[in-house]
Amino acid sequence: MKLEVSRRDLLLAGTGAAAGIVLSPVPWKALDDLSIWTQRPPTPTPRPAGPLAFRFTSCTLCPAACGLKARSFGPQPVGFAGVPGHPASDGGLCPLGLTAHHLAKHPLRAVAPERVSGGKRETIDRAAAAAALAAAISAAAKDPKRSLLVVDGRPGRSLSRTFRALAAATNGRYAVSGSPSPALDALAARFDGPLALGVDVTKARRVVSFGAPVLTDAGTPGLLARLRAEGRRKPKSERLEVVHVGATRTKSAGLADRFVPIAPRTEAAFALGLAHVLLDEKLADAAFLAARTTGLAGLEALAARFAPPLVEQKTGVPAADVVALARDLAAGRPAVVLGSDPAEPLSAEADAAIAALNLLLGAPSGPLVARRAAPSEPDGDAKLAAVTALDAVPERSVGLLLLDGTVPEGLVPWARLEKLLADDAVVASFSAFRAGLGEKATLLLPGPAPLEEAVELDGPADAPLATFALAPALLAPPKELVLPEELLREAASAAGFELPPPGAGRAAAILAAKRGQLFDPATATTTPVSSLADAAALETAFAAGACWVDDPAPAPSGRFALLRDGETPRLLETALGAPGPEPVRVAALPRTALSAAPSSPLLTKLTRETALFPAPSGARA
Amino acid sequence: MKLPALVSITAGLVPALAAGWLLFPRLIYKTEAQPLPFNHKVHTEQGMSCGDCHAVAEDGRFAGIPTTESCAGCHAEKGENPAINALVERYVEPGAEIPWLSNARQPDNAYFPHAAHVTGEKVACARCHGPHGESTAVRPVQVNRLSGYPRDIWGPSISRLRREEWQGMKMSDCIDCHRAGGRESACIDCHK
Repeated sequence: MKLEVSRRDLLLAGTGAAAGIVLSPVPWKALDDLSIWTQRPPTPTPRPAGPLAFRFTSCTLCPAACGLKARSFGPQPVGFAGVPGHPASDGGLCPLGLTAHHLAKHPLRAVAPERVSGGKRETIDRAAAAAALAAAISAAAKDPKRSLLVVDGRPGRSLSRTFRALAAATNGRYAVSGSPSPALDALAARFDGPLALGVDVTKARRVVSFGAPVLTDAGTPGLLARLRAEGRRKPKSERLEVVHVGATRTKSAGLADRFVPIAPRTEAAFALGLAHVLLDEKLADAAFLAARTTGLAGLEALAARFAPPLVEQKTGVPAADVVALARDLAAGRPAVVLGSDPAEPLSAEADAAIAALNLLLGAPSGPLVARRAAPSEPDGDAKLAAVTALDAVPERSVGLLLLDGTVPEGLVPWARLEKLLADDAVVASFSAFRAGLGEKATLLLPGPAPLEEAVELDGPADAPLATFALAPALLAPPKELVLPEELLREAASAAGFELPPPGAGRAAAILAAKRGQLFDPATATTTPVSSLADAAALETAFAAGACWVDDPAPAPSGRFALLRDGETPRLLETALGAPGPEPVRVAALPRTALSAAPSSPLLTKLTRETALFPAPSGARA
Repeated sequence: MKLPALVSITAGLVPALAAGWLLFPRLIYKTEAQPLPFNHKVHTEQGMSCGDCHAVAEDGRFAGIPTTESCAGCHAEKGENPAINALVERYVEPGAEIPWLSNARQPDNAYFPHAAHVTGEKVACARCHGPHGESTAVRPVQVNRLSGYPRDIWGPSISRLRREEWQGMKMSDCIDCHRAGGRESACIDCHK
């Protein structure tokens, strides 16, 4: 008997083999192993050596200036935790901060100066870098149509003073990256005297955000989320509630208790609609309005035009929902209304409408508190340039754009800077990375990476109390690295400009002001600055990671203007105009919009795609 | 004579199953020998515990694999035992560290704090690592050729059917244990 193996038999055997492979561990085990292989880091983790120690500093990646507790082996930090009780962060820390010590070894890190010529990037030595910068400074000083523009991401430092001196000496301009809270600035600007405002969310029962990512990126990491979690143990009427109003369902909107989707660019109309209901139903804070504001009649006349049906037509929000939200805000006082995403600011008119809404709710007598800036060293006799708004710089008028390494592209988009540049302008950046604005530089003069230098660090400008730290370095910079201050002075001198010597420093200014407390992160205790012996004691404390926090400012006694001169026509035009086009949003990492540094490649996929923060209460000691 | 369809299918199915279940596990792992023989049982019979060599320090650090210095505390001189003599000749006298290979190295994207488990929750070492203390020879390490991590993470059975709780240290094993103890965890607790 002869067996005949036909093509059919081979096909059946192949089918059986395929079934056998599927029923064996080969596919799923190989898939599992490959998935783990893909998660292996691109660079080997350095093996730490040396005695275990805990050191303290502050995170310099974004304006939150969170306290950092670094677990180190010898000089190498290997892990970070928040610092419970820290005046700026109270233990909070975001994923970027948790991996700040990775950034010095980032694949996009630059150490030596680089020049882009003919589309090619080449490494140059220090002398060539200084000469190129000097030539650009000299050319910018000679030609007013191709002047110098310095953009500083963190004003108030010694380096900022040098920037301002250089801008003044060359008839250039000095600009800073945008305000974190234009809506608060708009409110402070309507006070009949100088005033700065901060937000104390611990005093609020309702927080309304017009696009601000209050539950992910804005403010102290994790603070609002913690307050909401704590509130769940309270009766519903006492709980903190977050309402997000915006055209895009962002991560923060998704986490909010309520999301009110509105048509793009209709924030002003929606805010005036809420104002209409508050005034029409006499739900506004009458006592506050009578004692602390002017111009109520003007606002009433303006808001009267924004009846809920019209607001529904403009914003797409049902009129009943507008009325219900306004009533809820009035019933849920203290309430505060916050402005926009710093990376995507609202119009000035929307900020004005939000300011008026805050006044109707009496927010300046509750969650909005007066604050002072941290003491800064006086300008003295030095000739320093004043701050210029970027919008005031004429297009194509900049021959040398000098970018500080702390300018985040999320706040100062390249497109906004590019239109200011004259033909063949030099773009010099002190960024430590070939990323963000550093990638756009034609002359990259890399400065220290985060944690490689001590940084004078002001806390967020919208915090209820000013904070300041001289965040000590935790990592040694590469030997060949040139500090921006040194290079700038060398180049300016070569171009024929002598810059004034550095000032006495912020520590001396704080000691002279004799106000505030010094927080010791190791013991979580505070000491009045007035009890410190001298500046040396203060500097020693700063070198150990201490943070200065201001005393509460006295409540201001002046009045706020509900509407400023000439504001009504602009508000009407904006709020009654056609809705704008759908905004395009780029999905961002947590806080990357606020940071000039790229994120660590070792951040896991999970962390890259979510906005998870360790709760302050869970910060490990 | 034509083959029945079932025979043809079986002729393909059985070798594929055999290759998948028997040959593949041998191919996917490579075996790497330990630098020295080691008898855990001899040491535990002397009254030593896991923590005497694999210590969690007071500061919470997991000391992990013992250093040559800790071995030299008892084995500073040669004797009659060839393994001890090799230890002294190759590592104690030159002052070199023993390049032990770890059977329990977790992937770099997972963070496992020994202090929280061993010191804080008093979890016995054997609950995850098995009864090493009773072994008379230190096992060679089987390293996964694809992922680069040791076999103990997956467990001895390619099917992942566990006879003992300590057979496998994958994420699902962690989650099973946490759920059994009523301790739900967030992703970021382990994947920082």
